[in-house]
Amino acid sequence: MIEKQIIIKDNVGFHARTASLFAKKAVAFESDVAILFNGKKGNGKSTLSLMTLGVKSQDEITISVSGSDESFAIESLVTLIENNFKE
Amino acid sequence: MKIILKSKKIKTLKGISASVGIALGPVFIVENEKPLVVLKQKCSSVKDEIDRLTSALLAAQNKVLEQKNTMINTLSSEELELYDAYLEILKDPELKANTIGYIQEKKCKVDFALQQITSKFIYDLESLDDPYLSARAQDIRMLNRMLVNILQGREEPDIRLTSPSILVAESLSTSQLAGINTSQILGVVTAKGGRTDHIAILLKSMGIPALIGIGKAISMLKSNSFIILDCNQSELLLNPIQKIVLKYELLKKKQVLDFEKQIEFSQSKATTLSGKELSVCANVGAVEDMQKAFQFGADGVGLFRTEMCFLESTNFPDEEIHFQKYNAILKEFPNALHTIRLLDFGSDKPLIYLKNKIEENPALGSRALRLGFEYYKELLKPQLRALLRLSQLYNIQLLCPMIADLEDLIEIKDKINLEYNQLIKEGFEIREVPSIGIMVEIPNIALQPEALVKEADFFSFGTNDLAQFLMAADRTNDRVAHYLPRAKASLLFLIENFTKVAHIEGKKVSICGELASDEECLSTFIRIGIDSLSMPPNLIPGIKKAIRNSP
Repeated sequence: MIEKQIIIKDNVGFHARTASLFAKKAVAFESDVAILFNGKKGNGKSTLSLMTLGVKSQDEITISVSGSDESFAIESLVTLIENNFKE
Repeated sequence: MKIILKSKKIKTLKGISASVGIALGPVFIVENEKPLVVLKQKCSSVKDEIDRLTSALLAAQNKVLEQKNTMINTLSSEELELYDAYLEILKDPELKANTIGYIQEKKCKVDFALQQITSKFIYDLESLDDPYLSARAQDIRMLNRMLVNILQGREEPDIRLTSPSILVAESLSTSQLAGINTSQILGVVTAKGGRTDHIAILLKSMGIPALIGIGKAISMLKSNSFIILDCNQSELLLNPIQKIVLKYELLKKKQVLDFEKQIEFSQSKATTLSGKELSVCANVGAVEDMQKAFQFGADGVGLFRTEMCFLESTNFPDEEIHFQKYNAILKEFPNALHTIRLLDFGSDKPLIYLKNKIEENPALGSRALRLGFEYYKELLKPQLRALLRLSQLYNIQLLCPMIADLEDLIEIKDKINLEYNQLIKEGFEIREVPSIGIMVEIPNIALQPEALVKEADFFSFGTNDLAQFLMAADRTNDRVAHYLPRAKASLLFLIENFTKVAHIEGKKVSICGELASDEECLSTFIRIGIDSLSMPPNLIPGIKKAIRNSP
């Protein structure tokens, strides 16, 4: 399992658009992807689950990935957030 | 005035204006959707219930796609994304997995399980301290209703609107709206809701006046009673006396006339008070844009974008696809002069069929014609051939993006001539090679017009890209994008210098970036003698009016 903390820079946080972009990316990996925030845990492959975390701009989240392609997965997901959800 | 007009009998109700405008007409009450009856019942087979869930989710996806299709001509592509968000929810892995988990644990029927799971999501979203996300709870409630109806085999009664009316509802869902003949909706009043609701966003883009969140007062509105909706003042008037009705009818007529007048005046060329002529053209990228360009009185098409042909395709688009796609758009405005920009995208737009390398710096990378030269046979050649063939049918000129120096220009001219000669050899009758112009968007070109002013037939300033290169600030990066407007003075300086040189050679200069519709710059453009401005079609009537009022 790999974990990484990262700050969401998008000026609204995890909203419908950003959450679905993240989930779409996460689904492509075999590994399980979880987001930990504010004592809650969300399924990184689910737009609904990500939205209900209530992550706002400048909040710090933890991405936790475990599975066969975990190192590649975490790298792509971190890049997605670092690039402000632009690919 | 107002104090005199509002006599005792007249009642004014205040709300939130979600979409401006005035409407007068009879009230049509939209009955509240009947509460769903979902009972906790044991199921006989867990597997059957799971199968039913899977097929209900699919059926709901089809229904959403259907709704999207009925709205396709009414809404912009951005607003249509809303339906994609619904689809996303219906495909959500958590929604499905949790519902299945619930069925397996409680051995209950699928509708009950679904209701429990969606309620949890709705509760979580509504308890977030965020109005946008709380509003999404509304979307899930609507989708839950759709799913339960499918599972219980129940049809939601259609709202039959046969004469023009003002809809009054406790709340209105986007799904209900999709089932109504929207041409009969004069306005909308709801008790609940806020500006960020999807329904509010839809009504605004459809131009339907809407007053939302008027609260309990909604019960004062009775079926068929005549009301006035004044969303410019965020209010509605009940029991208006004749005098007030007349006043508002005039006001409404005036608003409609003002806009129609602008469009009407827009049909002819705009000249300044001192008699200088300036063409106002349209930027176009799709059929709807071209229809608007025609309707709003564009003097021509200053920028015809061809990206859609590449981005919408799942394989390298061939000559025939290019031909058909452009033809479908061009035929909406057949007599205009169309300035068609060749391939203009880069590695920031990933294509499935093009194994394009990810670049550190796409704005400065292999984009536009650079990419076209790199993949000449696959990308650029079919486009050039299709456009040359279309130049037999329409008045077309070719605009070359991302030209960095004379060498680039000579290369693309050679390619166009090569394809032209080949087509002639194949027996196509094309009178002549169309005019070939360039985008002035790379500083190396903008700074020294003398270098290729003789070689190109016309010039078009792409002020957005030029600004990003002048300020060394990536326009897609929110952290530095604020630098771009600060390039204005330099842009105007370069445009003036370039235009002087081009005009000596008798070549035309136009502007097609954001700066073209900047009214602050209009007097400078007129002074310099810019030949044409190109902008989104809906801005054309306003700019033409401004030109007519200029000295």
